[in-house]
Amino acid sequence: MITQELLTEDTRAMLEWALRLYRGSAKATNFLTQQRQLFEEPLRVGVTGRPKAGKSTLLDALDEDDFIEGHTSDVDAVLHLTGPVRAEDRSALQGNPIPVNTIVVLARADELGGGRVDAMSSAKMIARRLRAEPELGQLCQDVVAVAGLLAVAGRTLTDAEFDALVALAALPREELDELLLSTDRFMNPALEDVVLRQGLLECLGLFGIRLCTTLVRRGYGDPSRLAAELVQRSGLNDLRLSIRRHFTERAPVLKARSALVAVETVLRAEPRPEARGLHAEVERIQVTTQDFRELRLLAALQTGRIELPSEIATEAEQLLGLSGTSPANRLGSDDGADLLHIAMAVLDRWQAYASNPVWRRAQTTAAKTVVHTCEAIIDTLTRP
Amino acid sequence: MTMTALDVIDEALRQPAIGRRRDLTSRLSRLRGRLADPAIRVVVVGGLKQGKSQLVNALLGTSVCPVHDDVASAAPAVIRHADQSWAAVVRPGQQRLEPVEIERVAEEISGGQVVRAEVGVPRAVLSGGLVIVDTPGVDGLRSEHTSRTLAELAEADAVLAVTDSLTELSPAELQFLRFATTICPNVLGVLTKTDMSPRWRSHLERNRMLIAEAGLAIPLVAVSSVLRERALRTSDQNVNAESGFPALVGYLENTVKAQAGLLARRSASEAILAVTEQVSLGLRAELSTQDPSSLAGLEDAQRAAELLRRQSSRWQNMLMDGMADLMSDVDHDLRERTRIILRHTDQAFDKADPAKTWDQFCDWLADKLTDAVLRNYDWTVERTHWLSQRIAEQFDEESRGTLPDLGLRDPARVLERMGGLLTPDLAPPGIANKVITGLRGSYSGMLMFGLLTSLMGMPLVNFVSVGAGAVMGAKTLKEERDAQLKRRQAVAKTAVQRHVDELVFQVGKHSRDALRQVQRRLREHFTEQAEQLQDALSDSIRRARDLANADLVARNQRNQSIAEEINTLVALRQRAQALAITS
Ligand SMILES: Nc1nc2c(ncn2[C@@H]2O[C@H](COP(=O)(O)OP(=O)(O)O)[C@@H](O)[C@H]2O)c(=O)[nH]1
Ligand SMILES: Nc1nc2c(ncn2[C@@H]2O[C@H](COP(=O)(O)OP(=O)(O)O)[C@@H](O)[C@H]2O)c(=O)[nH]1
Ligand SMILES: [Mg+2]
Ligand SMILES: [Mg+2]
Repeated sequence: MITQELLTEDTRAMLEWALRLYRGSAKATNFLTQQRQLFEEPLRVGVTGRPKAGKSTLLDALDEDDFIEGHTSDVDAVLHLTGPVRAEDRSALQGNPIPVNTIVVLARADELGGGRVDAMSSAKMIARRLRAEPELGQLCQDVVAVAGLLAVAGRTLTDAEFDALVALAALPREELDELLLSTDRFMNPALEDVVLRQGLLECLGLFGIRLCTTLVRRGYGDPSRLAAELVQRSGLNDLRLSIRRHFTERAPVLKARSALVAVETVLRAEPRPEARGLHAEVERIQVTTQDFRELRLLAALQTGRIELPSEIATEAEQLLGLSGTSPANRLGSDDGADLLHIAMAVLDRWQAYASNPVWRRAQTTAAKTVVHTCEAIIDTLTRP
Repeated sequence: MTMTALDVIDEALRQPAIGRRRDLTSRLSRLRGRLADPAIRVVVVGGLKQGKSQLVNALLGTSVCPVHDDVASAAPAVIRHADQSWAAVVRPGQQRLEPVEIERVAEEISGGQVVRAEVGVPRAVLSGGLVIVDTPGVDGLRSEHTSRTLAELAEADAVLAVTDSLTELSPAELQFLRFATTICPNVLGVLTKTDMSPRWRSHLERNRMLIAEAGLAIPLVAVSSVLRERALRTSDQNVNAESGFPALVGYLENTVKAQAGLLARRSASEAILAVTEQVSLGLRAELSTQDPSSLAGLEDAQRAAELLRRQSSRWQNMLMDGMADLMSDVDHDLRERTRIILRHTDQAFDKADPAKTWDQFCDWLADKLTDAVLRNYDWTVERTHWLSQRIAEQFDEESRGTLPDLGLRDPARVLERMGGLLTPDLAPPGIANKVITGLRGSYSGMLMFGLLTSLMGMPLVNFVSVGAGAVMGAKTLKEERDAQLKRRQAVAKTAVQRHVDELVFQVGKHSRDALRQVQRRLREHFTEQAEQLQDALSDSIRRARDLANADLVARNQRNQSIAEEINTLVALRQRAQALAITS
C-alpha cells in the first residue's frame, strides 16, 4: 500500500509521543507499552458471538494461529458469529469507533436453512442480502455464511467415515430418506451400526449426512474429492477470501487502527491539558488516512451500498486495492508499463467523474476518494 | 346434568322477574354475546427464526404463515375457525379489512404492506373459539417487530413461547419468558426443530432446569414442524407421534380450552348471582308491601330513592374535582421530571461539544425522557385507580358494581400513540434531523423497554441515575473553547429545549385525552350503577302503589306468583353457583 508505510511510521511516532506524555502515570505507561509491543506483532483476530454460536468449531476449521476465541480487547479485527442477525448483534457491533475491521459470519449456516439439502445456498443468499443492507454495511466489511462443522468434517474425513457414507448412499432411496428424516430416526437403536452413525452425526450433522449421501450418489466417489466439495460448500473458502481481502492485505491499517483506538482510550481515561497536541495528531491520522476511506468505500462498493456503472465500479475496486495494493496491481498493468503515464490518465478520468453533474452525491464522493487514491499512486511513483 | 354458562344465562333471561328489568337483561345479553363468541387467543411468540410460523402452519395444516430461512413475518396473523377458508389484511393507516386470496396471504404478510392479517380456516383445533396468533417475534427492544408482538401478547389468553432445540435457552430468552408470565399466566414453552437437532433431549432437560431455577412454572414440549407436516401429508400416525405435536394439541384442548371454559363459567356465575340478588331484593320489598305495614314499606322505598339522588350528586362532584386535580398534577409531574433532564442537558453542553457527542446524547436523552414519561404514566394509573376507589366507596358494597377497566391500562395502545409524538421541526436543520432520527428510532421501543423492565420487577432503566455529562464526558474536550463551539452548544441546548417542550405538550395532551376518557368511563359506570338502584326502587314503589289499589284476591294471587318467582330465582342461583365450581 502506497501510504501504508507512512501510516505505520506516523502511528509508531504517535505511540512514542503518548508514552512520553504519560510518563508520570504507571497505569497508562503499562497499557501503552503493551500496545507498542502489540503493534509490532502479527495481526490478531478475535472470534466473538454468543455461547454455542460455533466459535470453537470455526476456529478449528480455519486453523489459524493468531485467531482468538471470545476476545475483543487486544485484537485488531473481529469475526462476529451469529445465526439470524439480531438486534443484539447490531448493538454489539455498534460500539466500534473505527468500524473497518469486522466480518459478520452467519455461523452454523446449515441450520439457518432448516438442514435441507439446499440449506447452504439459502444461507448464502441471506448473507448477500445482509451485506447490501445499509445499516449493517456500516458496521462491518462483509457478511459470510459458513457451516463450520461441515468445513471441519471436510478437513478431517476418515476413510471409515467415508465408507460408512458410501454404504448409506447405497441404501434404497426411500429407506435412506426415511432414515434421514430426523436425528432420532438416524439414531434408532434398533438398527445396526448405531455407534458409527452416532459418530457421523456428531461430525457432520444431519445436513452434512444428507449432503454427503447426495454427493456420493452423484458420483463423488473418492474421499478427497468429497472432502474438497464439503469444504467448498461449507463457505469456508468464501470466508478465507474475505479475511484475506479485508484483514490480511490491510494488516498495517488495522494495526494502526488498534493503536489509534488505544491512544484515544488513554486520552479519554486520563485527560490532561498538555495532551492537546497528541489529540490533534490522533484526529489528523484518522481523518487524513486514505486507507480508512478506501476500506469503507471498497466495502460499500462490494456490498452494493454505493452503485457505480459496472465497468467504472470494477476499475474503482481495483484502484482501491481489491486485487493487490502495489501501484501496478492497482492500475491493473505489468510492472514494465509506463505506470506514471497510465496513472495520470486514470487520474484525469476520475477527476471528471468526481464533478459529473449527473451522478448522485454518494457517487461523486466515492469518485473523490478514488481521485485521492490516484494522487497517492502518482506520489509513490514519483518518489525518488 | 351439566349446564353450560350459556344455558344458565338463557334461563336467567327467561325469568319474568329479570325480563322486566331492561338494564339487567341487557347486561346479561352483553355477557352472553361475549361468551357465545369466546375467542381464546393463543399468541405465538419468541425470537427471530425460531420456527414460530412453521409451527402454526404445521399445527393447523395450512400455509397461511410465511415461513422462510430469512426474516419473513412482518405482521401478526390472526387465525380462527371458519366453515369456509377466507383471508383479509389491514393496510397501514387503515381500519378496514381488505379481502385477499388465502393463497396470497403469506406473501402479503412478508411483503411489509400489511399491519395485520386475519384468516379463517375450517380446522377442528380451532373450534370452541380458539384463535391462534402468529407474531413477527421479539428482536431487541426497539424494533417494530417487537412492539407489534408485545401488542398481541397483551391480549393473550395463552402464550406459546417458541425457541428452537438447537441450543439451550439464552439469558435473554429466559428473561422474556419471565416477562411473558407476568402478562399472561398460561405460558407453554415449545422447543422446535427436534428433527435436525442431535441434542434436543439434553437441551429440553437443561431448559427445564433453567426454567425451574428461574422460579418459573412453564411446562415445555418439544416438536418438529417438519415431521408434523409430513405426517399430515401422508396420514402417518407414527410420524405424527414422533413430531411431538400430540402433546401440543393436548395442551390446547385440555388446558387452554378447558381453563377458558372455567373462566367463562366464573364470569357467568358472578353475573347471574348479582342480577338475581337485585331482582330478589325487589320482589321481597314488594312482598313486604303486601302486609298491613305496606305503607311503611312504600315510605322506606321513597326515602331510599331520595338518599340515592343526594348520593348521586356527591359522587359526580367527586369525579369532576378529582379528575381536574389529577390532570393538573400529572402535567406538573411530567414538567418537573423533564426540567431535571433539561438541567442535566445544559450542564453537559456547557462542557461537551454537541458535534462530537450528539449521538450518545440522543440515546441518553431518549432514555431519560422515556423513563420520565413512563414513570409519569405509572403514577397516573395509580392515582386514577385510587380516585375510582374513593368514588366507589360512595356506594354501598352491593351496589357499587365491579369497577370497569379504566382503559389506561393497555400499554401497547398508549405506547403506539407515543411513537408518533415527535416534533417535526427543530432548527437548525443539521442537528434537527439527527434529533429526530435519533429519537424516532427509539421512542416506542424504549417505552416498551421501560415497561418490560418495570414489569419484570427490575429497576426501570438502569442508566436512570446517570447524567448526560457522565455519558458523554468521555468525549468532553475541555481545551476546545472557541466561538464555534459556543454556538454549537447554544444551538444544541435550544434544540433540546424545544424538543422537550414539544414532548411535554404532546404527552400532556395525550394523558389529558386519556384521562378524559377514563372520566367518561367512570361516569358511565357509576351512572349505570345508580340507575340500576333507581330502577329497582321505582319498580318496587310502583308495584306497591298498584297493589295498594288492587283487590285482595288479586293481591293474594300476586303474592303467590312472587313466592314462585323467588323460588325459581333461588334454584337459578344454585345453578349459577354450581357453574363456578364444576371443572
Ligand atoms: N449443524 C451445525 N452445528 C454446528 C456448527 N458449528 C458448530 N456446531 C455445533 O454447535 C455447538 C456449539 O459449537 P461450538 O463451536 O462449541 O460453539 P462456541 O460455544 O461458540 O465455541 C456444537 O455442538 C457444535 O457441534 C455448524 O456449522 N453446523
Ligand atoms: N428442520 C426444521 N426446520 C424448521 C422447523 N421449524 C422451522 N424450521 C425452519 O426454521 C426457519 C424459520 O422458520 P419460521 O417459521 O419462518 O420462523 P419464525 O421467524 O420464528 O416464524 C425456516 O428455515 C424453517 O424452515 C422444524 O421443525 N424443523
Ligand atoms: Mg467454544
Ligand atoms: Mg414468522
